[in-house]
Amino acid sequence: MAKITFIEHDGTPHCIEVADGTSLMQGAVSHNVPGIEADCGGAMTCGTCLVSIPPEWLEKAGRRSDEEAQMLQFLGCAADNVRLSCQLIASPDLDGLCVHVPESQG
Amino acid sequence: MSDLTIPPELFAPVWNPASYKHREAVEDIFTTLRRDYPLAKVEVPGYDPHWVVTKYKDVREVSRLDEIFHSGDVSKTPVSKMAEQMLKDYSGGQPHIFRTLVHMDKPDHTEYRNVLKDIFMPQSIATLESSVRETVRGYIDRMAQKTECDFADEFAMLYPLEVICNLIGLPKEHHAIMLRLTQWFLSYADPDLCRPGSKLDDPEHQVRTWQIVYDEIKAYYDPVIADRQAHPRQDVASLIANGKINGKPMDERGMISYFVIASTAGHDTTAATMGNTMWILARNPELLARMKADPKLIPGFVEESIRISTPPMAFIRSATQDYELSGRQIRKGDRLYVSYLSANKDEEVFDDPFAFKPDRTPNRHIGFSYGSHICLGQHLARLEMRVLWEELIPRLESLEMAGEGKWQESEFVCGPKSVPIRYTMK
Repeated sequence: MAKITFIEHDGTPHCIEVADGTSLMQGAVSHNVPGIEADCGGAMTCGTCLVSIPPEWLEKAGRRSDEEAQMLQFLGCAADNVRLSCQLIASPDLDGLCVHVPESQG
Repeated sequence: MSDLTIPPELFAPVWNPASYKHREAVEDIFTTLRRDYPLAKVEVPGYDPHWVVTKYKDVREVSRLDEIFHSGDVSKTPVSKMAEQMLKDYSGGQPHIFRTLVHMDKPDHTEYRNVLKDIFMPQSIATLESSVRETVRGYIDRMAQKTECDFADEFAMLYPLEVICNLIGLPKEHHAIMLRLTQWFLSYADPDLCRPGSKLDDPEHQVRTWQIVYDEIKAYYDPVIADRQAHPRQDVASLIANGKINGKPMDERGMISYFVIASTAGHDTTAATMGNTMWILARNPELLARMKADPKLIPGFVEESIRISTPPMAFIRSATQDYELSGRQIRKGDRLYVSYLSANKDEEVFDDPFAFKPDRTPNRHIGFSYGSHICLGQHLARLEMRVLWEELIPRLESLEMAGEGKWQESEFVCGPKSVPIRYTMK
């Protein structure tokens, strides 16, 4: 179980618990976190579950797969700390992580 | 507290293909349902009872929870109990003749989707832009040689057909075969588009037509499959023909069905949206003037056209367990008629929902559905529509209807079959 805080682009925080092994996107959608649209349900084809994570958490969050990197490049999200939340899997390592939802998903 | 049971006489036209020639009347039924029966059951004589899911929030929830609300356990479209029994007889126990992505659940759905996933990723589709643009310019140049045309029949039904057939790897002279089979399949009840000889008043004709479509698609694709297995090329046909499911070759029904969905859903829906959008433009000179003045609105125009048109109007799901949805107790085994057409007009989500607003923000429509079954071809459809309007709108100097448009008579995938227009072009 990891406690994850999603911060909307207007600053509203949403603190939720995400079960180990499930994606942050799944957690956000089941808790109705605004801005995590996740149209494709985690198939990595829509790019509507973007979050940015603080640089100090990058290593714990794990590396992007080639597919995720290609999708992010296509979306014009070059920054290292932007991720698809469907590809971030909850574990005790991510407990306390705080992510930002971009304005484009407001 | 709104009512739990929808009067069958209010709902029955929704399942009657002939109702759709008066599209507004069907939209009115859903407006009433959203207001008075937002999530309620209906028992239409001859059919199993169904929950009718009309609200945007509920449609998203059901679509997202794909392990609770299965896609493959009952017919995807409303068929009578008698027709469903026939489907089972034909298919050896399945409630469908076809076994496409639409009819599958996890884990098969993921495995089958992965066969074409990469080629339909947005970054792959983006590489097609110049060739799609070249294709649409050909149609626009031919349109410019005249001053009147039937935009549905002469343009919308042909251009996305050409794009998808090229992508599949079919020669141009075979594109018309795919159009004919698509219309037999998806417009089985329209008197102008249905299979000749099929009896519209025979309750068995729908099932029989689908079986014939399956057989004809199989007859067409069997040699294509053999060719691509022997000599793979860079095309969708080669990906399907050599596709592996759990490391093994696809079974016959899965493979033929994959070709069915690629060759039909891959163009018919886009054609429906384009035809309807032209119909809207031709009746709305202010909208055309606005779009000519501000081409940056085109991506929003495309999204709004999809929301307004919503060509695949509904799918049926069934519950694998008890679930409480918006205060209603859904029971294991219950069927749900999930209406994207209604959800995309939900007044609580879309302000003035029947108005066409290219600058609608946000526009989180679910015209491509939502969740793991979201349209595989959504990025291709968007590309085809964006380049169409980018190329056509600047060249249109005047535009009006040249007669009455006509909707298809179809309760499943629906768009206009005729959009006669008169125009002047640069």
